[in-house]
Amino acid sequence: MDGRLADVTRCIAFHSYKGGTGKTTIASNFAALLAKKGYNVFLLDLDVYAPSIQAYFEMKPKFWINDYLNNEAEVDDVLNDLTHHVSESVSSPEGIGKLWVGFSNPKKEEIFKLEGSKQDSTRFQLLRRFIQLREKLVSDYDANYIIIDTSPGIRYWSINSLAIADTYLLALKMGDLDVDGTRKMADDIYSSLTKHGAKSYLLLNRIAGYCVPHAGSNAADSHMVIPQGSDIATTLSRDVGMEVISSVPCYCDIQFSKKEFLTVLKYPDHPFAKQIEALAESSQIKV
Amino acid sequence: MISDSLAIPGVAHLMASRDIPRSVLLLLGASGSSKTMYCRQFLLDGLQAGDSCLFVCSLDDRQLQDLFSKASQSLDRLEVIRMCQEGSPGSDRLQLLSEQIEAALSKASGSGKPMRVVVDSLSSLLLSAGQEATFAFVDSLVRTLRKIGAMSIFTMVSPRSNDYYTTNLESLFDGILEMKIEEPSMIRKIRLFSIKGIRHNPFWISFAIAENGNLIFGDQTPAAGMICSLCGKLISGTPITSPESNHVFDTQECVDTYRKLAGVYGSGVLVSDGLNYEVVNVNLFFIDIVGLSDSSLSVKKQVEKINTLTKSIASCEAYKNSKKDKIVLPTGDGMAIGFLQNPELPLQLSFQLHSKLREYNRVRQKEDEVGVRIGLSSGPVFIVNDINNNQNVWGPGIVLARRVMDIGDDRHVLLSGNLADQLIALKDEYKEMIKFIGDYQIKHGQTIRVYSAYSLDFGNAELPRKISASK
Repeated sequence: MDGRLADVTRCIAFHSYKGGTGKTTIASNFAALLAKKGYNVFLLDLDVYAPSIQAYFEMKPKFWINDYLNNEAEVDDVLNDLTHHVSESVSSPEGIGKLWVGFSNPKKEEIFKLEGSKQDSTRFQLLRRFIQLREKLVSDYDANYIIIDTSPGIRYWSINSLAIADTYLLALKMGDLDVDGTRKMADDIYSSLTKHGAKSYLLLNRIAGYCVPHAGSNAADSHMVIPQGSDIATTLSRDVGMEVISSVPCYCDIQFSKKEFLTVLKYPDHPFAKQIEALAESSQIKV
Repeated sequence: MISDSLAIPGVAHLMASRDIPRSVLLLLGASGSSKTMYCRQFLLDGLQAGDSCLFVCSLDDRQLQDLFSKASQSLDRLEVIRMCQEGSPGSDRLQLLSEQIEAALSKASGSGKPMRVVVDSLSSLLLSAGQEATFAFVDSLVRTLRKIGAMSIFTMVSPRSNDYYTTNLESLFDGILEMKIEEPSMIRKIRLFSIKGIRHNPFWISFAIAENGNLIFGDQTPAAGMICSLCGKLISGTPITSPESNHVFDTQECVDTYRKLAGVYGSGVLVSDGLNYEVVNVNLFFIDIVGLSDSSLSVKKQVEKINTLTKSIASCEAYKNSKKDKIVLPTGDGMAIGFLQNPELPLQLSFQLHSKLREYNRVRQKEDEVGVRIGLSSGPVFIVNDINNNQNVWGPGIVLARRVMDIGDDRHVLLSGNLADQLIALKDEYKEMIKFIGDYQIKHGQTIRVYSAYSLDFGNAELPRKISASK
């Protein structure tokens, strides 16, 4: 960390219209990279209906975000200090920040407890706890970044996640685009939210035809070819009405690996890691 | 734009831009709202910064000494001119005063230092010199001060109504500051109502007077145990309100988050819940049946009257349409209704209920008529769940509504000052209908402003007996 950090917290929500757009992969890598760069980072798995961040960190937490929201645990209990994932990837831990991760409980009864409550008062108490979580991360934990992996679509907890965030990265996966749905969501939901200071950007994922792994499947040796005259970003940006903040190519070695891993830590020179680094360094993201 | 050294006290809280052009301002407020203390702070800030300071006041020597007795700054550079000088009648007095001020300004201009001027207060001049002479004096002085770039504050007791004269007087100034004391919390508030040439959204901020007489603004002022409607935290500074709701918030972040949620879920996102314990600002309607405990009235008739009142209220549009946005508390011979959103609803319910009861009473014997008195107020209350898990409220807001109602007689619809202020500012029809009828001392020596709402077919135009007796 280079001392530029002021008392500013950026809260970034990774969202999408449909599932399977790569939100979790990018959010996890993005959070790990920011911690590696010296920031105090909190990664929250708020994809409460289908949580999957656990796959990147291989741990079974004692307490879940669900427990905090249900008033059965405190913030301290649900935050897991996973900085060692970052420190183990560098030769010297000097200068690295902190990586805290909060997981959602994938058990169906826990999901029902969050989503299934029809009582306004219970829902509001959950929402209030959620808002307090953000406040505590800002005031008591000096968060530089809060990274939220949200549920896709327009659902109760994805909207709540968006409401506490100041920056939205709306992931679109090439080959499975739903431009109409995304535009509708942008019109219906994002327009209400961005009126009050939030910024939203498109994040294009798995752009086809960019990656040529020329040395088998060794991720470290793969490289990126930028196609000439591509206007995908321009077209989508125009169609959805949002600026494209990054276009992340498709990498088979990441997509089809047997086990999830944090590319930015394991293969820092991989073009995917470079792309995440560029995203982290973009003026729209930096604190 | 001027340097900070000429800023008015609390400017960082009063204006979003935290800066104010060099101006001649009029500070309005009721007697006792601390206008002079504000001017004191303005002058002391100036002395601290090395500015030239001129204080034109109506204080005598002892009052002046008391005013600055706890000031840590040296008063050597404070020039004081007295408005009230013995032996000089109205217009001559103003002529003399003008000459003295001109001489003081000329001397101060020569020093090259920034200049601060206070004229406290125009109300004294109006009493002694009359409207026309005062108007001419103020017009001339404001022009001079503007020309020499002196940051200036004139004070005046808020007029009861905006007549032709006061409207014209206000128009002479570059901006208007307003002060008030909120009942029943007695929290002092100030706002920059307008400033020429600048887009400004006026909002009230709290301030307090410290032991040494210094003013403490905004975030440093405790908010009397209020809780943020969104995050539920105890508000440590000045509560932030949003114009589109009655909620109070701890931080701008909470306001923005609320707006985002309300944009998606609707404005009921915070009020459709049954919270276990919360402080909310409620607009209250308090009613009871006049003469219900009369021993000549049978219990059966008493019950009939209570039932009539309950049914009549339940059939009013203001009651029916507010759905879940209200809390209803039966009180035996009446009821209290707290409307969580719209401050107009208590008054609208009063019109509608009077109309229904008039119809009901028209065909009844005198002893069967249902006579009511109504008290309206607004203020913070705690919402608590009672032993049966029903919502109940208690707090200064409901106490004040009860006290106001107690002043009234049959058909009176009385309002506390804080709700009357809100409604009068809202619509011209309310301005016509809601009349100030006097200050009234309630329990514990507290004095409240009382207004009565009436028209040809609603309310009671006569003064309540208690108010008449107290005059």
